[in-house]
Amino acid sequence: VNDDVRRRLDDAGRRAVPEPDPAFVDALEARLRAVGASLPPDATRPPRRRGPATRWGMAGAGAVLAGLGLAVVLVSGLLWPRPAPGPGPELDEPVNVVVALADGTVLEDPDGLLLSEGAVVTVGAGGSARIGDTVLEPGDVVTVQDGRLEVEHASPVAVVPGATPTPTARPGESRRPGTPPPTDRPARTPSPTPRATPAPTPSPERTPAPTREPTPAPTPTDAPATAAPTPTPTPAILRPRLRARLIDGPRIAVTWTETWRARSYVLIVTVSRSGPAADPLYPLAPGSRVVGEFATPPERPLRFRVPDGIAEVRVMVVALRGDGSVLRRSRIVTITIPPPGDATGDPGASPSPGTSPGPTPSPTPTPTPAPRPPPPGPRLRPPGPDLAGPLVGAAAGVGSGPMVDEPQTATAAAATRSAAREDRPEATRSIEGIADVFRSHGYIAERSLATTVFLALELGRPLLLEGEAGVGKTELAKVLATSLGTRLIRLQCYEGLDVNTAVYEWNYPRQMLEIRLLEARGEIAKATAHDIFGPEFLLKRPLLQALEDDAGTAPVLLIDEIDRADEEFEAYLLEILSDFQVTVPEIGTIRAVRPPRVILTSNRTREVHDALKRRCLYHWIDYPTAAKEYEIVSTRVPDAPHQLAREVVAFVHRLRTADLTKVPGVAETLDWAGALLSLGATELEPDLVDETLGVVLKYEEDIRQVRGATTRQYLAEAGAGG
Amino acid sequence: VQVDGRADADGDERALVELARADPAAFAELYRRYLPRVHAFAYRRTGVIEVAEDITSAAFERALRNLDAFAWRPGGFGPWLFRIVANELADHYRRTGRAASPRTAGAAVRLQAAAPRDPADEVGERAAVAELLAAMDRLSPRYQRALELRYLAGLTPDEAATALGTSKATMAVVVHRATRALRRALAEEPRP
Repeated sequence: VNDDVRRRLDDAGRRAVPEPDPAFVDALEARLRAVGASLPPDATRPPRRRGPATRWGMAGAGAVLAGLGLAVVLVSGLLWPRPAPGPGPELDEPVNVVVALADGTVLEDPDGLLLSEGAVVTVGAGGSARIGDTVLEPGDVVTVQDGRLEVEHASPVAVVPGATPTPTARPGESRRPGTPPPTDRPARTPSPTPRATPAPTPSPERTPAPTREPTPAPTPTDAPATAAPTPTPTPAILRPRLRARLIDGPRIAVTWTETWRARSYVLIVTVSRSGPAADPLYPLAPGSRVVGEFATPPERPLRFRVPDGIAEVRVMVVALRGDGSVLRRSRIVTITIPPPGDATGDPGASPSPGTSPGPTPSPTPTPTPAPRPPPPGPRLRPPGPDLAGPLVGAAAGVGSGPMVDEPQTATAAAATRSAAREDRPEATRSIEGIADVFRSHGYIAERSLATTVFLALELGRPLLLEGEAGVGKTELAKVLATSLGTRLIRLQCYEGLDVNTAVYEWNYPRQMLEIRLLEARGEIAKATAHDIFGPEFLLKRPLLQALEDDAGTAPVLLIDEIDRADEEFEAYLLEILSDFQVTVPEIGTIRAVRPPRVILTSNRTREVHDALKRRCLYHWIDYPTAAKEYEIVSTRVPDAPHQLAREVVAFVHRLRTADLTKVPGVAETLDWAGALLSLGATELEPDLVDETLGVVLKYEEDIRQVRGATTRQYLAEAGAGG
Repeated sequence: VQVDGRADADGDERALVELARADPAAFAELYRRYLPRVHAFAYRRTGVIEVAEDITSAAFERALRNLDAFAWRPGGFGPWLFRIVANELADHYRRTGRAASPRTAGAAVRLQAAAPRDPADEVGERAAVAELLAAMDRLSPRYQRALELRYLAGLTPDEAATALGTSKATMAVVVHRATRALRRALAEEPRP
């Protein structure tokens, strides 16, 4: 049974594979040599795979901290009281140690811990660790050597405190779980030399000490520094190592490492107000926004304020080649923002740290990576990439977004609505008027339909039309637009229709072009998100067009075949249809000046949701009576002889009672009459009918069933009836 | 002759490993010897050059750092190295959660399409392979590893079994079950 799967696997295994890029091969080899050189020679390399007792013996080399198979070591800030004179900070100070165990227990020793020469800190799987500015990940090994911290990273990916880290601890080096926390370690000395306040921390630079330079820039004590770029001699061949974490404010501190061959880096963020945020995507997808483009990783963490109401933020860095193509993407870091209750805002704190002018201009002023919250309201299950989050009203609250409007109030909407009534041509202000105007445009409406249309106009409610295919649902919208002397904006629904196609999309190529221009002008550093997320970069899709239409009269918005769209989209429509506004997080709320007249059609291939129906007036358009249809034919195909028109209508009506796969609609009747007319027919002949049945019936079985004897029979019946 | 050649190659490789243990610089020879195969394996599994390069880098670096832990086995260095690659792949998918996110998979496909060095293979074939790989993502890590090592790594059945850390017979059973699971995964809709 599995043969086909095996064959496919075999094929996949034999697939041609591109040669590795020679530049990559060389660079990796150089990298491996560097790594090899950093490893101690065999004789002195710490023995691996020994029994636990022996491993404990390693403590002899100095103080061995942590380990803790499943624990995290957090040696929090306050290390290195002064900028080191030499290549790095000296570690003869007691360090305030905080150990967070995997089970969430946090142990802190206020007196600090002395990291003596030769001390080894191994972070076990299960969490992350921090020593001052140095963020450690599971598997990282830190050694105190020559009075400085030597950090050896095990994993190429960043782990954010709080996120679930991937256990990557290397075998011989992690301690067994249950190891007593560092506070119990013998290494700990109750601060014998209480040297100055531990306030200023050295530059965020870290890792290979050899390259570290003293950077006197103080780090705020309230924000226990994030990891900073790792200026390794050989830049990471791997992806940019992204670190992002929550600091108070709430703000997010972001930094990443240099990546080999990268010419620039794009920092991308998505946010969500409820539930998980979407993954940032590059090239940009709606929902992902560029916070900035950088020539090099920032020297100190970039800080961004998180607006109120954001539940989750995801961050990703994309390293680009010189030509702008993607070189590497970092992993995506997810940060959950605690509810406002816990996050005691510190408005004052924000300026303190980030403002120190670093060599790399930091886009700190950027009003937070504004939420380009993936759409949908809380009641919606996040359907797809783009329908997931509250789109409408999402931006309200993006405090810093200067262009955000206050949500429109219901009364205002009502006022707009009644004002819109005055816009209507006189003729459409009565039921009879509508029927007449429609007739003059070739649309014969039953009185009930004219009434519904009138009410829809009067009440400013959307109109939901259902009926068999070809009864004139779509046509009604066109005629309505013509009658009102306004524009018809049509949104054809289909499965998989999403916000991109229906509402708006960012003009990505244009944005990239703008970035290039800014770069060329040397203004990229000053650029803010608003520079590339302005209205001019917005591609307006039908729904947005309908809201924005400023042609003087409200347009008619036809949402055709809503039953073919996904239910998620339907739910999204609810939002638009109730408020007639759309929120583009980067820009603000776009509200209809004149709410469009909305017509929805459905062929009832599935039931339209009640919630949507409730917001609409409803009308079922049935096949017209023979008399009505005759009127329609003579209106739309005025040249058709009466005899022909009557016979065509009678025949089609007879067909509708037959057991066919698909019975003809009014559209088919009109087509047929037109076709017969162009053939010069004046009345129906059996042979003529057989030859032209393809105009009326669209299924081979139907045609075969009707052609010949049946045609004659129907003609006879129709003739008798007419 | 074959047997002798094989033995020679093995002996040669064993010497290389010993050498590299004492002097990491000697690892370069092993690296050059295995790079194309490792890279091809990672590419076949991920279908994205960038990711393949990441995996390749990480695997070699891990191998170098853990060379001490390598105990010589018949079959040589290869199976051990490929086991590391398979672990890196598993880590990769666990990290990215790609299995749960068709969106990222879509992005990967787009990136791949944009990659200038992408081989000019036929679009349909690529889609079929992408579908297969996406279905593999949804299997358990053990099944993934079994299928990867058996079909995508270019190893002989013996080597694949060694790399998986099982006997050849067990390997066959695991591969059989994994294939069945893959068949089911292919039949079902990807999770939204």
